[in-house]
Amino acid sequence: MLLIGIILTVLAYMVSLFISKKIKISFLNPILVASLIIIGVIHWTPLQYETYAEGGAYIVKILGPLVVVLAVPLYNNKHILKKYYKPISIGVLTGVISSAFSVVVLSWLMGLDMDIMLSLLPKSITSPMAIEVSEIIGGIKELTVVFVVITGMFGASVGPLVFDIFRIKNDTARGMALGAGAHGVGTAKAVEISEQAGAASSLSMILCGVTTIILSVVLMKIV
Amino acid sequence: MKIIKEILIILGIYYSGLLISDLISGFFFIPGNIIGMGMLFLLLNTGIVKIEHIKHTSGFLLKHMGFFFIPLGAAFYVLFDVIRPVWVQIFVVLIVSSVFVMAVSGKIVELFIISEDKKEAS
Repeated sequence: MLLIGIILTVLAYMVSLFISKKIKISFLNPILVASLIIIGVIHWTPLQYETYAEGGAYIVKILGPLVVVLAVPLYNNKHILKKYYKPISIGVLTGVISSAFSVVVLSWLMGLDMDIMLSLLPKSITSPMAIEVSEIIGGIKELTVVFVVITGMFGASVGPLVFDIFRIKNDTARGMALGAGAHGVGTAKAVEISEQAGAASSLSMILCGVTTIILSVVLMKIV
Repeated sequence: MKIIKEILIILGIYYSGLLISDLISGFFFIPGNIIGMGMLFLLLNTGIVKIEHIKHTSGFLLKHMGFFFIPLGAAFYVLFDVIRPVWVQIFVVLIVSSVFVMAVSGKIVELFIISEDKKEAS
């Protein structure tokens, strides 16, 4: 019954790609659309979630090696990393710290439980790294993925508005912000702004992820 | 054949990363795939592995990264009960925090770049 989960995921993904090509809304995330299709199938047909998840588990396993190939965009943008290492390190640090700080304070204000706050903490970094962080600090990784996807979609669509309101005009700064705040979806948006913004965003996304992982490991060691 | 070679290179680096992660886990835990990423970055920089060696597989994985998360997203079906009572609060956290992160990091980077440019000009 393994194949059911795998085939359903492939079909849902193809449909979601088709939809996002037809309806040109840049933030319409294929992860979200495909997940909703599968949830619909599980809800309205006799297919059980458990049966689906058996095959799904095999797909998720590929996420491990997937992080390894993130070295490729890092390498391709090496010259920008060298040239702008100061603003990039500052952007990455402020991105990581402002995200963690705001999640902790807001979760506390909203009275959210600890496990939900821990699942929310890595919401701004790229999903394969976010699930690592979620596991390290004791969150629920399936919730983290949903939060990451929502953050990316929302962040990428309001990013330009945020830049207008706070008068952020520099392309490197915009790219850094989109990568730090909205990971891959933000990077796709940054590519639309300019090549320079896209490169900055891609670096920002990867480095924010790595920094968050290192910080969470250090933090868990101390606590 | 070429694709199999590409996959073997990536998997080889990935499993070496896992092994190293295991060996050093007594001192410090770093996820194996992050170590693998660092190794691939070093190998690319030293020229031992060239982009051409892994171009197709890495391009495919990066392009279709979203696909591999779909089962985790679908798990939301059984997890929704966990967040049902607080989903509005969660949305507030996600939205406010996203705007905050982009405004703060974007503004600080911009101010830094402007001050650096001024230094260079004077």
